[in-house]
Amino acid sequence: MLSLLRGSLSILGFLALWEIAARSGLVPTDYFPAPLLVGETLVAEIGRGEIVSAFVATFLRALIGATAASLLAIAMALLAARYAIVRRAFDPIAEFLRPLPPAALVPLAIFFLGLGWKLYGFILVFACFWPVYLNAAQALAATPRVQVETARSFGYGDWAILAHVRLPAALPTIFIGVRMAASIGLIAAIAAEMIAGRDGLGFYLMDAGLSLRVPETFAGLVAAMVAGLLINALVMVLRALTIGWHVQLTRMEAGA
Amino acid sequence: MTVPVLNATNVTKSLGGTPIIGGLTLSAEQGEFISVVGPSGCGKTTLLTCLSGLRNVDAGEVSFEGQKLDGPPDGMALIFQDYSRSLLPWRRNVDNVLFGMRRMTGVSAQEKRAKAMEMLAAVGLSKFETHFPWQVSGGMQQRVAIARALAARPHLLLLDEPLAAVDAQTRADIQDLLLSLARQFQKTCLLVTHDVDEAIYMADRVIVLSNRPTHVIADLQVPLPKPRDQIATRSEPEFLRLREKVLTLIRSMRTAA
Ligand SMILES: Nc1ncnc2c1ncn2[C@@H]1O[C@H](COP(=O)(O)OP(=O)(O)O)[C@@H](O)[C@H]1O
Ligand SMILES: [Mg+2]
Repeated sequence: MLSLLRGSLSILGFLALWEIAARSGLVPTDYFPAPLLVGETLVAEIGRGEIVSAFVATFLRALIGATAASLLAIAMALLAARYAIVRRAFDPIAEFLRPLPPAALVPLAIFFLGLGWKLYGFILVFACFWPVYLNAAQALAATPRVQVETARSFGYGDWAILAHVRLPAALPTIFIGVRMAASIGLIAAIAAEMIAGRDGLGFYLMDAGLSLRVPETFAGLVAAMVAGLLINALVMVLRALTIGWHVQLTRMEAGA
Repeated sequence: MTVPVLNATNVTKSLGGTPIIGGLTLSAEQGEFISVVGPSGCGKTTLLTCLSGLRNVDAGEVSFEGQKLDGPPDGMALIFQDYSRSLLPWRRNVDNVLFGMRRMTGVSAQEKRAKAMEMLAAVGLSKFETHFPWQVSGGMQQRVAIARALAARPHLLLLDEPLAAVDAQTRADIQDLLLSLARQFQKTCLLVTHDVDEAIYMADRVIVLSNRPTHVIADLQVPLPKPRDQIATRSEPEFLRLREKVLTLIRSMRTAA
């Protein structure tokens, strides 16, 4: 609580300095509008509604894309963990495709998929899949042997061990991937909107920026930041709900 | 004569090309408490994984209640050396005990839970059922592992150096707890240990293993009165005689190696 207060104080201080610098003419206000002006613009833009729909579109794209990619990646990692042949077949493909920056795929994807939701679906799932898959596959392969043997001795079969031991043991690591996927999802959504979009924060930012509406561009940035904070907060809530034990254990080990 | 609970005949096992078990034969009768002692690294853990059906043997045969083993059978439970890692950290103690009851079918979830609580009470942990294993001491974790093994209602309990990592007082307490539980639930037990005193104190029969590739070099009855007592039993002349005998055997192996 105290650290939260201290954190907000330091941000407030930073904004206050910026405001003073802008008013005293130390920074060119055409390019760096004062925070209060950005705030006013943001309120006005929210009133006009365009930034709200842009925010909602981008946020939902990132959220749905990251969720779908995470579920797909976990399912794939479970199959790879269960069947060595899946892992042997899929891992080289993963190594081959993973280095591709998702934004580089956009032009080709427009050609095949058009400009609609399919484009976003493809780019986002491609971008968010890898961190989850790689973390999940690695963690599922690293279950302590003694846990697996304990389960086997109590009559658990391979699928039951996957569900009752290997998956729960891997969840803390999987969440590292999911958290990465959530931020990558937002980046990919905004990048795709900038290149190919007709709506969303990426489009809004491009539009405002290219037409030199600087305060609006800053308002868009604030909206993107809020989207980033919100999606990360959602992941953290989900994490606390599913692996609260791990959150507690980590805290205990750090305290001890 | 009745069928032995566990019977291993001429078991041979190599790991990664290294012969670990070399022609080992042993059997356990109903209700017996057997200790298996052997030098560190001689293959005791490997032997238990073979006796429990977790690993196949290369040659020879292991049978449990007259049935040749092919995978872990119903009716056997293992307590691992590495208890803190064999408990599942995402499950509370009572849920860890429930984890051991998978084979118990036709029982309602409620009854299972009641049974799990009963087992935790039997090891003296009633107040810790909603704690996570990592919130309790090492000795308590080992008690949870014991409760979990007992909850599976095994006929045979295999214990792999269960007390190697706990302090002396806790070790004595858990030794006596194990003895009283084994008697109360009429379990056949096979305890692997490298601690000669513990082996004799706990057992009706002590089996001494050789260095790798390991086999049985002595099979000694322990005619000490029961129930055992930490102070009285350990000062019986018979205890001291057995202790000297086993230690001599183990020392002769060390010089031979
Ligand atoms: N996969 C393996 N490949 C080769 N050697 C192994 C393997 N696993 C264990 N060993 C060796 O087998 C020996 C017996 O191990 P273990 O059964 O754990 O002994 P103990 O429980 O008596 O200490 C050890 O010396 C160990 O190094
Ligand atoms: Mg061992």
